[in-house]
Formats: sequence, structure tokens, C-alpha cells
Amino acid sequence: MDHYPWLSPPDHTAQALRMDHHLWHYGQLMTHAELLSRAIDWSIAGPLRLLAILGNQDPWVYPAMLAAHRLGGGFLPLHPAFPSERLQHMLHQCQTRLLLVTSDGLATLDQLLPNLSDSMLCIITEDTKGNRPLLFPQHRFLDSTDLQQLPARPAHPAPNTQAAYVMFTSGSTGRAKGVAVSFANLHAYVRYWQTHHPIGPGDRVAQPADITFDLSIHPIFVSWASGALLCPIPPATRFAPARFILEQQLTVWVSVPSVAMMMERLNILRPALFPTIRLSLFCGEPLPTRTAEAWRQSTPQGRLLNLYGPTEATVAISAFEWQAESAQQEPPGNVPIGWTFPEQQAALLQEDGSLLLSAGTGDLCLAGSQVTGGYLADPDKSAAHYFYHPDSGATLWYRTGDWVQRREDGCLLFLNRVDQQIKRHGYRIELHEIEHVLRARVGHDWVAVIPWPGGTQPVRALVACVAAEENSPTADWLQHCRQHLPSYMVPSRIMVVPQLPLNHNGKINRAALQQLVQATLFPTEAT
Amino acid sequence: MTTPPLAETILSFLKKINPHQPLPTAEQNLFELALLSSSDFITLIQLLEEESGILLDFTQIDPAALASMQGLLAAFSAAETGSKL
Repeated sequence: MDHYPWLSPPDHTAQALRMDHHLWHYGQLMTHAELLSRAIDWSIAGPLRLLAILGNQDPWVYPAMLAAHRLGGGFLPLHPAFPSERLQHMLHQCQTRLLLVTSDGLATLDQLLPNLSDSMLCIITEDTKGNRPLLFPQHRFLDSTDLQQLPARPAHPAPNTQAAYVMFTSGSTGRAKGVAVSFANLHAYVRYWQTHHPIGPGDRVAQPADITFDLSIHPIFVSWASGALLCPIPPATRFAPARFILEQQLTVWVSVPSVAMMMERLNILRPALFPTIRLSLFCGEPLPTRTAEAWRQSTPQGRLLNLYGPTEATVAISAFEWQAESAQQEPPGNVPIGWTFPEQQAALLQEDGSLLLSAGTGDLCLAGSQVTGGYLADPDKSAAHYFYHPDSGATLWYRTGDWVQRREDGCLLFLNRVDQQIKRHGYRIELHEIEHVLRARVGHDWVAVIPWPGGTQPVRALVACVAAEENSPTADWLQHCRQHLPSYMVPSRIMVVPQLPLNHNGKINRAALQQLVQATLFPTEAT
Repeated sequence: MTTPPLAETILSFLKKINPHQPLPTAEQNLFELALLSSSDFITLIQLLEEESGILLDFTQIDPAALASMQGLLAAFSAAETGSKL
């Protein structure tokens, strides 16, 4: 049998992927991956051996991931809706010139190619490359017809140190930073789920987000390693997918808490609404206890886990199980983030530089087989977040920037951030990155982005506060943000104020701005 | 008939949260035009439900069908008459 590190179907006719009108079984998935792998040339794929995948809502992105892994390399997902500048930055950071493009990425490809100085090999999954060889003679193109003519390639297992995938997260200096997750990291993650919360053939698993969001890694690889069926949720359905869950008879739910919260606000959640769901996983932002309880009651046959983990620690690294008695045992607020998985460690960095391994509070640091080794091409950022500690020998720690409390029973509770990073619908956002982009357009530094409603509540809106005159071109500023930032980072509103309030240190008083935003834009909505 | 007042409510809501952008046509996708975020969408649905006294049943509705003004009005109209989208 061919070598695919993640596929373990009960047989080749078992269903592997149901997306829109496509239903592919495992045999088809392998055949498609084998076909795509014929064009992979690692000699042009940079030091990390990465196949860049430009696409999202096309089933061919999935065999593309497997094609890379089949030949012992990794993949870099690129969202077609990302601004061209951001895509260029990602490709440049990874130094790959190997780009696979699915049908939904073609328009973006045509905008991107003139701006790429390196000669790219573009593998187009459609059956025609069109007139692109004439339009872009500096690049090479292969379409699916060409792939059929190429000889089959033998599989080649990846070493554990090889990057399985690279994800980019928001960066405070105005540039996204890349995180390479190795096969060893991903194997450790998948092994945890197979051992402790196994699923199998017959399970139907939700994929809640784009492939550029690392939470999607969980359903994709855990499903296929278990012989289950992966069911990506169409983007326009994601915020209220009740009908989708019922129609697809999903058995495993994976999402950010925002989805459940929006369903709660729409009064969708009611007892025993989703009887087929047997495992629900929430990850990416704080899960309110009220929402957890509403979801638990709507999935009476299921277990509910609240997961926590940064991209740098491979999707999730700790879990708390919310059970029937949890509503009585846990105080109202947010569900704890629980205990780290076996093989993983958590320590709390103290102000004196020591690592606290017992109860207390501190900046959460993580170590173990899921923790990555640093940021791509960014030694300063890596040094700021990854470190060895004299008390723990050769253990590499990742400093999360999450201020956390550890209870006497070892359970971890997220309190807040130590910096200006937030989560919006599970996406990690450095507010400084938005401010950096906006300042370039506004022409001065008096810009502050405020998450609303603030505190420990999930972010529902981003408001950019700008010191400017009343008739300033805010529509133009917003358009500038759309051209330079992914949609989830674009402010919902721009609020013009005569001047930004300052605190006694002369810094922008974000707490005062928070109150101003609440009073001005959301006066009738309680926080 | 629920359509005219609800249409006014939608337009007024969109104008309020996007004061500098032109209003959409009935068929245009409000998300693609960046006139609505998912959070805004929930607020709008709540507003329309409150104003019309009609509750949408999301176990029967694909939210994708509600991305335009036309889709929203059709959903409320169908919910009022008891028909399914």
C-alpha cells in the first residue's frame, strides 16, 4: 500500500470527504494525491520543502496536502481572499516556488504572479492552464492534463523534523509570522486524540473554518487518521450551522465558541437538538460557561471539551471536560482551559524569571512534543518567545503571553493577555498590526484599535479610534485596511475623535477609549 | 404584509453601521460587500424578529440564503406564512 502518514481507512471505499456536491472515498483521495504529487519538485520548494496551496473552497486542497506529505514534505495554505501583499510575504518567508492552485484561487493567482520576482511552478488542478503561459512567461504551469502525462512517483516518508505545515499568525510589528509545525509535533497531537478520545469509521466530523486557520488541522488529520468522514462547513453557513449539523448527521463537532454563542443569541440551541453529536470540541477563544451548558444540553449523547492551545503548540495542548455537574461546580464566567495533555508541560513564568510548576498565576509557558521550535526567519521574535530555562535543562519552552491561573488541583484558567493580542472568532490578532497598517494611511500615530466588548468576553467588533477631524475619509481608511489585512482583522468601524485620551504615563488610555466606544457606538448593548 | 417595514429596518440598520457606504441593492450579498459582519448579522436578525414578532427557525434555514436583503425578506415572509425556504 502507498505511504500516507495520516490515512487509515477501514477500506478504500469508505467515505473520506463530503464537500458541497463532492463525495470522495479514501481510494479517490489517495488517487488524487498521487496524481498531484507527480508534479512536486522539492528542489524549488525552499529549505522547508513546502508546497504552497492557493485555495480554500475546492475539494482538491485536501489531496494537495496529502500529496506534499506523501513525498515527505509539508504544505503552506494560502487563502485566496488574503491581500496580495500578505501572500507575497508568506511565500517569501518560506522561500518556496512551488505553488498549487485550485479553482477558487485562480483569480488571485493572476493578480499575484506579476508581483512575484521568483519564477514559480504553478500546478493548476483544473484541466486547462488557459493563456497563462503567454501572459506570465517567467513562470511555468502544469494543469491536470499535463499531470496525467507525468510518471508516477514513489512515496517517500518524511523525517520527524520535517515541517508538516506552516501557519502564519498575526505579528505585532505589522508582519505576519510563520510557525512551522513538524511531523513529530503533528504525530504527537494526532496520537493524543487517537489514544484518549478515539473516533472511527462511521464518524462524521465538522471542519469549521478555512484551511488557513489551524483549528482546521484537527478535523482534517484526526478524521483521516481514524477512518472518519470529514465534512467542511460552507463559509456562509458557519455562523448558524444548525441545519447543516442535522442534514449531515454530524457526530463530532469542532468550532470556535463564537459559533455556539451566535446560535445561542439566535435562540437556536434547545435541549436534545443535536442527538447525533457524541463529541464537541471548542477551541480558539474563551468559552462562556452559559454557552457550554446550553451546548451540552443540546447534545445529550455527547461529551464536551474546551480546548486551549496556540498555533505554536500544534492546535491544542490542554482540555477541560464540561459535564452535567460542571454548571454547579464551576463559577459563572469562562470554562477553565483544564489540564495539559500527557507528554506536554505547563509552567507559569514569574516576574523574577522563575518557572512555577505548582498553583499560582503567571505567563503560561508550554513545553513538550507538540511545541514547535521557533518562528520562520525571525530570530528576534523567536528569542522573545522560545527559551531554555536553567532549572529545566534541555527543555525548550514557549512563552504564550497568556496570563493564567493554576488552581490547587492543577486546572488552568485563562485570565487575560499580557500584551495587545486578542482573539476574534478564534483568529489571533495583534492589535498593533492593524494599527500599523492604519497609521500608514492616516499619516500619524494617533490610532488605537479597541476590541468590543472587552474584558474576558469574546470579541464581537473591532473599533479603530483615530484622532482626526470629523469629516475625515474613514471609508478610504477602511478600504486601505481591506487591501492590506485579512477580513477578520479589518475594523468593523472607525471612530474619529478629536484626540486620544492619555494615561498618567503619557500612553494611550485604552480603558478610557473602551468606555468611549461603548458609550458612543453601543449605548444600548450591555457588556 | 411584512415586507416594507422590514426592508426599511434593514436599510436603516445598514446605514447606521456603515454611514459612509452606499446602500446595497436587494440582491447584493451583504457579507461580500463588507456591510455586515457575522456579529452584525445576529444583531440584525434579532432586531427583525423583535420588530416583526416572527422567529426564524434556523434548523430549517441555511444562513447562506439570508446574505442579501431579498433573502432576509423572503425568510421572514416564508416564516410568517409557515412555508419553508
